[in-house]
Amino acid sequence: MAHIHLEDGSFSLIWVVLWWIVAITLIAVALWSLRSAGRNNQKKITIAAFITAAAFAIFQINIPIFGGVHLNLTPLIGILAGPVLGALVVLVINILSAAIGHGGWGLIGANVLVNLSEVIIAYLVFRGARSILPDLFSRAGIATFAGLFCGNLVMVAIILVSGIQGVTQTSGQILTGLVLIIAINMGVAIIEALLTGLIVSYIGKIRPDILGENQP
Amino acid sequence: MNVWREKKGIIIFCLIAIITLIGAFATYQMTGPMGIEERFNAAAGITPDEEEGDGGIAGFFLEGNALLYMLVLAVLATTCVAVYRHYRI
Repeated sequence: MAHIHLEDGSFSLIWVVLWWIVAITLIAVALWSLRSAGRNNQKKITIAAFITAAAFAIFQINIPIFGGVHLNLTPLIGILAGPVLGALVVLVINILSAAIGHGGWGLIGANVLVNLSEVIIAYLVFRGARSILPDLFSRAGIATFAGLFCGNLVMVAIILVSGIQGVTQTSGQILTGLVLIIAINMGVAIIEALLTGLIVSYIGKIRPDILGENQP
Repeated sequence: MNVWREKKGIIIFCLIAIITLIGAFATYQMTGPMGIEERFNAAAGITPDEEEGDGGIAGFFLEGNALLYMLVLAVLATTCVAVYRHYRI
């Protein structure tokens, strides 16, 4: 959901490089973790491939709600693939999106961090609330809201910290505008939460092993 | 009490949905219909280049190059089939 929709050149080079370095470091940690797990991840890799295709497909479609928004299924990525494979999935989606002209190459690092925060928070809420909220639909929906809200906060933080080149807006004015974007994004998060809740509860009915619900 | 215990998940979900929906509608009333890029440009004070694509179908349209989108999607779908056949799940 949250995605920095600014063109290349909006951030100064130093910030572009810095966000890329942070993102690549996290990806490296994910790859190391994946390698350490050995060949036990085959099921998750297959799920990650499917969720990558689905998230890429839906992310490029502008939906005419509140003037035009799009979904990106990052909380579903977190719930189904987990944060380790999820990190790789969001990197791939952001690179492929930039490759087809949706989003700037320079902002991939920052956008990976935004999306990764959504993946991690959704995963943690979904797993952490298992004993409190046994119902899969509502737990996945609430995890989606939490993940997307966190993603929006990270997005705003990255933009405010980086600053935008060539504009006369003060940080306060930019923050006001970004808060309005958060409000709209969270409205659309309802659709994403419903969608994620329905998909997760369906998978929970037919293949609960995919959700790892039986694991301690 | 039992109703709360059984339905607390869906009650919390609905409460969050209602609050976010009210917030989104209030914001939409304040700002009017704007695409997400327009919202970012307005927030940042950027004057965007004029680049209007087609209106799509019923307001739904693709961001980026449609041909490349189909091509990438085809590659991803093929990869999914290959991974599924190889690993099974």
